Amino acid sequence: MTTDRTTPSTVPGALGRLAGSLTSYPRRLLCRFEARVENRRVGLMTLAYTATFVMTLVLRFIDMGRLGLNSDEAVYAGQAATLAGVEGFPEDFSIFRAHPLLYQYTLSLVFQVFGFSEVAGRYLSAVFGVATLWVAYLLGKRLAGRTAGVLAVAILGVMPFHIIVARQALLETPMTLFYVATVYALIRYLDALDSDAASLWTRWAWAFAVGAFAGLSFMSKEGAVILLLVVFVTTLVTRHFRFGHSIIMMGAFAATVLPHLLALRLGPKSEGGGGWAEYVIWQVARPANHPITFYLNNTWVYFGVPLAILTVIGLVMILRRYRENPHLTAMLIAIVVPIWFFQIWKVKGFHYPVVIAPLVAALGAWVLVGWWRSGDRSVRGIATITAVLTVASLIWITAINGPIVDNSHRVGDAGYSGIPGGREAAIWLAENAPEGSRMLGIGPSVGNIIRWYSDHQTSALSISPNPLRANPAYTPVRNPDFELRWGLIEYLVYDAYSAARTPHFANRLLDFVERYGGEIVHEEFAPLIGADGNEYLAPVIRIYRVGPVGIDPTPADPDGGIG
Amino acid sequence: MRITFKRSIWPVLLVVGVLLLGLVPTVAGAQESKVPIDTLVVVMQEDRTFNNYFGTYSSVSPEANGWPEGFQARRDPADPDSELVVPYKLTETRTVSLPHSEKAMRAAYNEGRMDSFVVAAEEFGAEDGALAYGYYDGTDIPFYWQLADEFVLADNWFSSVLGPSFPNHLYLFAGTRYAKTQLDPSTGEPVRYDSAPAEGMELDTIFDRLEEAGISWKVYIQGYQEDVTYENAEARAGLHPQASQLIWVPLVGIPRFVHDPNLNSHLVPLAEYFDDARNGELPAVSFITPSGLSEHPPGDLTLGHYFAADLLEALMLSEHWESSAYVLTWDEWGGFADHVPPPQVDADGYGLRVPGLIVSPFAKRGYVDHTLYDHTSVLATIEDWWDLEPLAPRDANANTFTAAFDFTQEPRPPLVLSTVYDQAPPEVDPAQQSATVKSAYALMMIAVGASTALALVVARRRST
Repeated sequence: MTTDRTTPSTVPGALGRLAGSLTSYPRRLLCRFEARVENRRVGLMTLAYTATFVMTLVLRFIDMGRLGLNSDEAVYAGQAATLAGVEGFPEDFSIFRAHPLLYQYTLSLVFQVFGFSEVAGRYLSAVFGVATLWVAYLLGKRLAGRTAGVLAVAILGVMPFHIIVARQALLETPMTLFYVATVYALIRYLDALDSDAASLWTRWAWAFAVGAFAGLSFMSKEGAVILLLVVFVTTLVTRHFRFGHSIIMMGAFAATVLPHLLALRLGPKSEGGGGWAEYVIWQVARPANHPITFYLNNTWVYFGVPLAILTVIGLVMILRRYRENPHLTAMLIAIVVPIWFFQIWKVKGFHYPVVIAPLVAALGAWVLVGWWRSGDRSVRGIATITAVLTVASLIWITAINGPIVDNSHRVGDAGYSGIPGGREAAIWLAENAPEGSRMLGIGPSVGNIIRWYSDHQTSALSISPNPLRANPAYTPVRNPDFELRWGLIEYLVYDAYSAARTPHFANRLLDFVERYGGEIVHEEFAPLIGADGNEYLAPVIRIYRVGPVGIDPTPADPDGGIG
Repeated sequence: MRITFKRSIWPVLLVVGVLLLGLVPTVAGAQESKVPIDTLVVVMQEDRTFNNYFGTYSSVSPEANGWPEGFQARRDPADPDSELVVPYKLTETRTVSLPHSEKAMRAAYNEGRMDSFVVAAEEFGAEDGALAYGYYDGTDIPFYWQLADEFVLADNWFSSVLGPSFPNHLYLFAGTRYAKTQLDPSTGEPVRYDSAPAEGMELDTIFDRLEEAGISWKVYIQGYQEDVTYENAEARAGLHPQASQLIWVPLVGIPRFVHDPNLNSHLVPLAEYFDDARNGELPAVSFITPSGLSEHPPGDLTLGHYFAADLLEALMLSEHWESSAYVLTWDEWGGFADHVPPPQVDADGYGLRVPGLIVSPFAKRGYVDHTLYDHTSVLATIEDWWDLEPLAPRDANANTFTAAFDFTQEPRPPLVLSTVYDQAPPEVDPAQQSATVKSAYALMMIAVGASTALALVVARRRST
């Protein structure tokens, strides 16, 4: 097969050449594969890579609907449903809330093309996750060749942290895709600056790509604004800062994010969603939700010990050699900045650091390939064993903790998975609670799930009337006692997840249950780990009915009611 | 003589026997309703006219007979230069109690001219009679307006008496006013009572009919006190804190309902209503009488209307809902104005127009019922459904609530009402907002995607 890159085309001029260029890369890949097959060089490693990739796809797409949506998923999918015009959602999920809408917009297109469904958001997220594998390959290949690229895919492909997050309808998955794409584009940009063969167009193009990918990452979730810092610091430290190119980068970034800002500013004012300024104030002023050791205690285990060690080794190696190679500087800064940011940011989430997962995988692959290429047989042996151990440990962690295992006792952490019982409790309410029924829960999380599945109004005790402490998307209940006394709330919903996070409000809810004669009408159970380490089936969600109990006696009319 | 029966006599005997069986009253004495309603709950709140609560409901349903557009009235109809008063939205849910005696009502009614509400109120002690023209709407009474949206609003329901609470409640219970045959020396007319007399009253009530027919019934009384009866002088004088019980529950003014343990056992505290509803033990006919939550000024109407909504919700969430009806009305005008002259069918009335809400899984949806009703229509409906004899000429001739129901429709599921009434279109059209966002994002992705791809392709080509 020739590698003729020109395409005989009846389409004249530049358009035809563009079409030829776009199809040339896949054609070359195919040619190479065919050559290998012809030369019978399809070996054990190729089979191993293929098997790993297949396993990756299975782990990422299997059994998506096993658990119902968690609170964040319900919100994002709800926004997408509102965008898609799905009936019943605009009243419960306003379009504009705390984050930009790239993921929600994309999901709304999926709803419109493939139909509305509970799991569509998760499948979309998984597609973003698989696309991230491809970019991780490119990054690894750029760092240390094709072998590193393939190894990066293998590591990231079975990394439980990335799999767990990418199986959820969360914003972090596209954010991660475009984050690592930005880092890759940044490395290409740095290479273009260093290469005499690279034209001005090449440098401008990669500068543009850096800004555009950073913008897309920001449009997935605004936390990606740290990319501006990554890019800026990298170009400064590597002495690759070019003012004109920075203008291009910022221009591309601005062009990408501007439509959202314009829609926010000029579009019809959001109803019930709060203004963007309110969200910024709330994000800045909200209190810490986890201790400072949260990531150390909860997240790193999902990278696996071998990979964690490889990462530390890799960072140390980079620190010693980053001046030699701007790639390494970019990798170092791109990994360290988010770690620093998420560590100091008072609001922590299990899934937040997923942006560094592809970089960690590429870094690990770079270390291993570097050892392999050292030439020393013993070092090569260590590299091979470490590679196998790394991938095996990740597979093992995925097998015992990952998405296809019923790990209900861990699901109290946001971003870990769906909430067992949440969907089922909400569906019970949809089927049994009269239209218009109002619920009162502990926190807004289960309320979001109830709203998604049942279209019932759900308030939460923990929503503060203080605007500095409350998500503007939620309306506080200023006097729940009054509302219960006068029959304005029909159901109380107790959930173990919110109770664990806010015991004060959980106890208040139980007080109301007792005071207003709450009657258990439904329960959902899940396996939980007891203090003794054994697993028990425990009620995780309880729904109480608190119908009107009447107020008697009451003060009589002052004039005796005599007409 | 030996009597022999030929074979042909047996079929005849069999037919006669079957015919005789048909004449035997049904066993156990409980008559069943002729309609698919076996639980009726009747609630009477206090002191509101139709226009006070639904005067602007025509903005939602144009056929409702509320305040005519541009309506205005002279403060003093005798003075053509007196200030004009127009109906206005009240901002407080608590107001003073306007004078609403029989004399005040007749003065305001002004022989059918319906033009003297302000001057009548001030004549009988109000500081500013213009309060009579104040009204509320769905923002103040969201449950009631939602009930009107979802079920039946009666806009031609009149209080039974051009007078105060007691006789109106009597008409609801007994179809008549209590009047002794002796004449009042000062007026030369039969003595009419505005409260139970010291010797008690003797008159038939709907509950006597129900009792005779074996149909279950209860009267649930908020703040019920067993000692507040016609025998309690303090209550008769209006000095007892629960004196309203004597006015609004005429049964406690009838000796047999006080002293007969069986009859008296049907008068129960209100809390029992919620228990009965929850346990599926509501009787066939329930009358509910409020106390402090009656919406009678100066009481807060918000709490009163929450109370009425609670009563309905208890019914809706019970097993009775699918075969129930809930009728909510107000006893008399409370000093508030209305523009529709009440027909005068006899010496007592009718009195001014009051709101009526009819709720049932078989009630027509969003229906404004123009049928002429008064409080005895409740009696006529009970008598019609359970095949009972009428009590008096009024209920014998009153319209039943038949027009409000469609018994052929599928019973509607229960519906919990919102605390917010909002018929206005949302400030933001979600579809419009969605279109703005989707346009912006689509343009961005196409532009950025195409630009990036083009830049990279061009750069690649220029580098080779």
